[in-house]
Amino acid sequence: MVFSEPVFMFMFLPVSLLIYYAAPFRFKNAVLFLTGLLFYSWGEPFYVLIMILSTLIDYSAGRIIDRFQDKPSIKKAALIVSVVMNLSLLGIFKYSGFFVESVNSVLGLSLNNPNLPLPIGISFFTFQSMSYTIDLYRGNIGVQKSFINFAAFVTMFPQIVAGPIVRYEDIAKELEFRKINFEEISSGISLFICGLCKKVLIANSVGELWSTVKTENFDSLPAATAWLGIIAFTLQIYFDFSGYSDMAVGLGKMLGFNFPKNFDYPYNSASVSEFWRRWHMTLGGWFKSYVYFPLGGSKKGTAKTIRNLLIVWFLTGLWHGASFNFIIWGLYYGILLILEKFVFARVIDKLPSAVKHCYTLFAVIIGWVIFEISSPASQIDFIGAMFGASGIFFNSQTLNMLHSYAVTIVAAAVISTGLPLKISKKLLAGKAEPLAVAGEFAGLTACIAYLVDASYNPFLYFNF
Amino acid sequence: MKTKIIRTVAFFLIITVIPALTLFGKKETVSYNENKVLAEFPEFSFDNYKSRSFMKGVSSYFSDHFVLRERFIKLKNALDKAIGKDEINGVIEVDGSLIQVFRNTEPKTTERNIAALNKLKAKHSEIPFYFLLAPTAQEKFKSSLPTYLDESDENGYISECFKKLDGIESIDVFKAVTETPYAFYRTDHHWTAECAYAAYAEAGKSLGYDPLPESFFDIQTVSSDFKGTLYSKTLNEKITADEIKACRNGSSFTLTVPDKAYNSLYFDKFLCEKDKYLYFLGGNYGVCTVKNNSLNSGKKLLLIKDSYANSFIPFIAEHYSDITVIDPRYCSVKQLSAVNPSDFDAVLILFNALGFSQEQSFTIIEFLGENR
Repeated sequence: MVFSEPVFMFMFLPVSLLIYYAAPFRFKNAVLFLTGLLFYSWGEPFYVLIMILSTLIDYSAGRIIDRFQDKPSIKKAALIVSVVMNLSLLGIFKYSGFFVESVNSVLGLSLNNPNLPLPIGISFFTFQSMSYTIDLYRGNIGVQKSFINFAAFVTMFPQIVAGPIVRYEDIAKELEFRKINFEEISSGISLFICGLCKKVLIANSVGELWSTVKTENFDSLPAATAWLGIIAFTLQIYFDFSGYSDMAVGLGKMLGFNFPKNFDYPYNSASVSEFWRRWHMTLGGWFKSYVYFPLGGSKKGTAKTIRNLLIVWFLTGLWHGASFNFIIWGLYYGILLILEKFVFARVIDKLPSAVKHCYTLFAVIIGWVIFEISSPASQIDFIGAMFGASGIFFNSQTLNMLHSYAVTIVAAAVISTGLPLKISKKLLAGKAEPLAVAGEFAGLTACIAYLVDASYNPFLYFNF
Repeated sequence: MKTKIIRTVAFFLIITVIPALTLFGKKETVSYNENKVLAEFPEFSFDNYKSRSFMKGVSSYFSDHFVLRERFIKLKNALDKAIGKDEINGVIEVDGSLIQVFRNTEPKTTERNIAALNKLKAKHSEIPFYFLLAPTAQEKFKSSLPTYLDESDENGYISECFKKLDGIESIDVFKAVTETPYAFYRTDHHWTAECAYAAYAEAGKSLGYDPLPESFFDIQTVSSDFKGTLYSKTLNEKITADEIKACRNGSSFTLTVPDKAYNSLYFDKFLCEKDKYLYFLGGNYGVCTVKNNSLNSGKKLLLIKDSYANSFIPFIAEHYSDITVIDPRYCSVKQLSAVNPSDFDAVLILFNALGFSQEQSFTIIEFLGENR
């Protein structure tokens, strides 16, 4: 189930929330666990078993690590079982097909591709679970003795399918005790509606434009159409993903949890490294804590720092999907970050701010070309088209697209800077809240109108 | 704090009242205006759950029966229009009419269809073949189309098709159609009976009959509240409903469909239904025959057609005592193999350009007369 479908908003959500609020506190986590299972099994009626199994193993590993604090070998073994199990789940369900195909094409074999469908959200819940056993092993957190509490952490519906990647330590306290009051519920609703509007009114709309451009023949694609298309995707992925995160954080608040922030106006960044501090922040944080720092981070000399960065960005790319273009995309960012850090650091510092922003946006947009177009040859064709390789600047289709999408694209671009929100907060100081409520419900009505007749409402994270 | 309580209460009202009204409100089984059968609630079983068909069923049930569904769709269309997206499901509004935008995005389909036609003609070289490719409303409203629209040139497309014909005579009705004042329904993708008459008059020059003058027919407006397929796609209330006209002159016809025979080419019972274009011929059949009982010429016509022909048949049937009508979209290979083009005096192919450019089933005509 995904948040932006009527069955979630008008069947699952009201029923789950009513039961959740009505239940006495000691049963609330059980309600979270069970509704989470229902939520997940709605989309993955079979793979829900895998999730339960993984939860059981991580829970048990946690208990063993805690019990054998003074026996390092047992402690370590339990951690290894948990990590290996989670990585194997990823390996089998997400990467086996890709691996087999790659081996076949390199070695000329014809091994059977198991063609396993990817369980939704597997990359999110395995990373969340691992954060628990690793942190417990490191002694950063205390053990969770209640299976229900632990299971609620893994399976609770707000974050299970598309993040943010909530670490156990983020909500450890709230699992035991949390306040649920009007204040929190109200701000959760506000965030949820904003996220829904981002997804339904903006991402779905501009996404339609990109899905048209994507199927065109890139050899004869006019430059303006290529730019229009990739700008549309740049906006779609941000509004879709951050909208989804907002909805998750909002739902979390309604349930009494404070999930970490996942996006912080990434397109305002003045460098690629800043972009990655503002984009999908929980993923970057995860790789930092569990891969980059353990490898030595940047503390062991330039050569090792470069090696560590390349490893982290190779993995970051691969995390986004089992396909070469995601690896290229990850390494592309790895290389850009290395260049920013070691080669151009001084040059970039001296550039005027406008140039820095343009450079960053350009780098990010080229990144999205690599991300969205799977074959490298087509990526080159598309980038060629952006720079006029077709010899056509625009045609009647470009005009028609502009007519249909210009308003949405401009509005989306402006909103993505966060300025409208800032300005309206300042201008309306004092009266902001009632106006915000009015705006939210107008937005919600519009969202419902678009969802009732949704011909295009994609879920972009099936690859993740 | 007060606003926070209002927000919370309002949100919970919305997410509880909507499903309550949707699930327990009055249910329709068909959507009259959208012209579709609404989904039923799926049956629950373990297999249905495992295969996710239960979940998909619940989704479509919920969205089909959504409370105030039509209102919400109209709101969506209005919002889209406000931000510049004025094409809804491939339909735009021009001068008070709804028209389908013609974009020739799959030229291969046309190539295949023309090749199939030429192949059929080559097998029956002794029989004259005629191809009437009708323009759609886009040609009629060409001068009023918005300048930013990226439509394909429909008349250019028709000429291209005609150029590729091999031994088949083309019938160009462009002028006849565009000069007819009320040529296309404002709310439907078909041409009107008046337009079909104009095409019929023009086709006589090629097919070799003298068209009956308009005054020869008793023209009756049988309905003036027709809201057709394009209305269903857009739910645009601003467009004036259309008129359906019947043209009779006293000839007696027998329409034979596979297991039934009717003594009229017009079907009154459809005038009180949503899709009133079914008034003509009662719809589309894989194979049917139209016999003119008032005519003894013995002339036989094979008509391969889409639904544009349905309002055209009452006119051309004045000149052929037997017409066998084939609709490639609805017929089987078996039905086709029983019909041999060589048994006819002429073969007429009548399609609308937009439909022909997308028609995937047309190539089935290769099986005509292939008795195996």
